[in-house]
Amino acid sequence: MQSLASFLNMGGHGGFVWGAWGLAALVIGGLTWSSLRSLRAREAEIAALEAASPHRRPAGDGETS
Amino acid sequence: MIQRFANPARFNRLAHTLLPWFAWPAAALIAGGSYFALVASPPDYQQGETVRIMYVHVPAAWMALFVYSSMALASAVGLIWKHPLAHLSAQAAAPIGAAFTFLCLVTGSLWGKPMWGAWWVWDARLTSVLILFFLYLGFMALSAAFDDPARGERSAAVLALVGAINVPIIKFSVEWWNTLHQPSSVVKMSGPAIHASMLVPLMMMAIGFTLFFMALLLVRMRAALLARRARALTMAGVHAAQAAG
Repeated sequence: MQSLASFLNMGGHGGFVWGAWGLAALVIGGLTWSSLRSLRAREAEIAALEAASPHRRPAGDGETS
Repeated sequence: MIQRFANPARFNRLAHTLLPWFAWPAAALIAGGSYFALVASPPDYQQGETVRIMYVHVPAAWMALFVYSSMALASAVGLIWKHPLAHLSAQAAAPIGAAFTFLCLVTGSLWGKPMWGAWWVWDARLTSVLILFFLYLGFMALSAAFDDPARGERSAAVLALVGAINVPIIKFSVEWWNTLHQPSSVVKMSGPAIHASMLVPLMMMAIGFTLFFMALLLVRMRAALLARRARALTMAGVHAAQAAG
């Protein structure tokens, strides 16, 4: 059973190993966050546009024509 | 078959159904793969603990190539058959591919320093991946460079196709040139030259990254379709105001 300190130390290369994994977490988290945020923003935009023109039929979302 | 999903409303329904099937397995595989990669797998007999960088570096590199290849394929479909979702999917994929390529380059650098003694070398593998990163950036810049989105997407699609020549160059760079970068240990004619204790977490991360890409692609395509619809609604509003006024 290795101790937490030696686990974090990674044989003296902790900075490299945790740096790489930290960046991976940032990239995965960042992509997820920005993609979901942009989807929410577009949904809100569509809702606002549809509310502004109530005479238009409420088409299924994403329909362009 | 492809044409069936040309209808955005139908695509949206399909995306809605598929999303959890990609997102949850992706999360489970990445979480499980991380545990095996960081805790349960052994250190390498030559590289020690730094081999744990491999479990993010190699899947990120595979994604960099996979996403670019799918982008080039979608661009070809868009240019040849004018499928309405093809360019949209290529544009939705580009930032994800660029992010994976960036992750590959930086984690490679963090692995290179302790193993080779250098953050960066102008070796064929590293240089060709750096070019891939610039191709992604060029694709995104070109897509957004025109007032007419259709012109932007066609120009970017041509760039994606021309840049596709770089994909086999990256793949075979470690065989064609004498590189500092090590050759492939997994994708070999003779089968993987890597022990199961390392291969299993590596494949878990790789499949996890792939499913994560698919889930994200669906989310981004949905957002792009909504943006297209918002543009159409705004235009319709402008025309209605002009007609009334």
